[in-house]
Amino acid sequence: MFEQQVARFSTSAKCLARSRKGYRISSSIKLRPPIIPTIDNIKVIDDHPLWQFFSHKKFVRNPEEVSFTGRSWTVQELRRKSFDDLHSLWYVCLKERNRLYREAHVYDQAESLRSQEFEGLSAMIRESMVHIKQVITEREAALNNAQAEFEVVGNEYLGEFRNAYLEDQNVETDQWYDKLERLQYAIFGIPDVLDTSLKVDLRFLEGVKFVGQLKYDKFASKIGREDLGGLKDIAEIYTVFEESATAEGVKEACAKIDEYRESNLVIPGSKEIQVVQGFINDKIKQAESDFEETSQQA
Amino acid sequence: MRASQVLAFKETAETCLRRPWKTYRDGTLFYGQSKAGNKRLPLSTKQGNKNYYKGTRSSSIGKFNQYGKYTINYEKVRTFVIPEDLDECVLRPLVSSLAPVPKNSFKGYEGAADGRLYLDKVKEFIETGKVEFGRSETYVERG
Repeated sequence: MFEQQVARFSTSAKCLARSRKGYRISSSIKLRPPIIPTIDNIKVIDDHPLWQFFSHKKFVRNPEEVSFTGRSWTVQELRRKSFDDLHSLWYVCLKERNRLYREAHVYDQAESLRSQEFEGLSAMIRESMVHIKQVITEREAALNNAQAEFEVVGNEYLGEFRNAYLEDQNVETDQWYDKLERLQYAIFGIPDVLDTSLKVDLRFLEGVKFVGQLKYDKFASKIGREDLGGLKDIAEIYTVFEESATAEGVKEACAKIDEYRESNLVIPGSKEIQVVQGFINDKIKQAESDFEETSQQA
Repeated sequence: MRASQVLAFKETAETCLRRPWKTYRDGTLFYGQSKAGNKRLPLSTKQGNKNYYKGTRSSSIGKFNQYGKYTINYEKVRTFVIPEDLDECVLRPLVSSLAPVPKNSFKGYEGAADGRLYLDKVKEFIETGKVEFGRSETYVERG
């Protein structure tokens, strides 16, 4: 007889769940009560970077917790600050503005007028940041102008300094040592502590020549070494530059120059930068190896 | 000509919606704030010509390759150089409104960006070094 066929619901899932081989749900997974979706059930690590958008990990601050009574930094105040201070202050302002902007958005969504207060504060901080930019631009312009000015009056100033040094009876004082060091640093960019990142350039070379020549001219007659007939190339000048600004120092340098002259080498002008860079690298290496030796002994 | 049906002048919700240009006697519109204002809203990404690219004011940081995978070019990624000791910074974004504003005087110079002023400061530095607390009462701040 004709039998009526009826489609059955699929039972494969049921079978697979029962059988050991065919699995749908891992047996290690156990049914647990559902996790209620509230903010308390979300754990955030303490040093999450996005906490920087929150003040003391609060959702929003009340207006009482935010001080609205201050004013923005003025240009005059910021002119007193160093670059590092301005750099830090910029990021302090930026982070505070991020926080305020987020909180203003929250209040705005809740249609609260407090958002305007927060935005007003943010605008005040923005003014601080504008002033920081102005001070830094001013300094850059001043530096460029000063460099252009130095091209004109620089030689005159260096001549005055040279005369003052040569005319002074006693230059073997701390005051003059410091002055020379500051001149090297401020005019020629020669730091008093050498570093591996140091790159010798034309300005550096000029400084070495100025200071080396100055020391030699001052002490040559005093120690009776005018027989050298002046310093002939950069290696000789650098030897004097490297030694201390005393009669003893220049005497030692002259002894080294005597040794050097026996080799009959003369360094051409095109190789000067390379040679001085080599001297400095050697000196740094020497200092490093000395330091290692002393630390090993200790 | 056939006379219009009286129903056509009857104010129903539907007829009003079909006549948005209608103004009342006091000049107010039937709905909306202005008839022309909608045209002055910013363009959306659905408007403009087919080459119109609105963007999100964010720069590209890489490009798609031929298989559609995005590779980031780290030279284009923005970096922020933050000072190392930012946490130790005691400066705050605002100053107390009671704090007096210092005065600067550029007498004899063109202003804060004058090269001569900068040079004079350098000369002073060479002569005396960094002076932290040596300011007398007659000291004039030059910025």
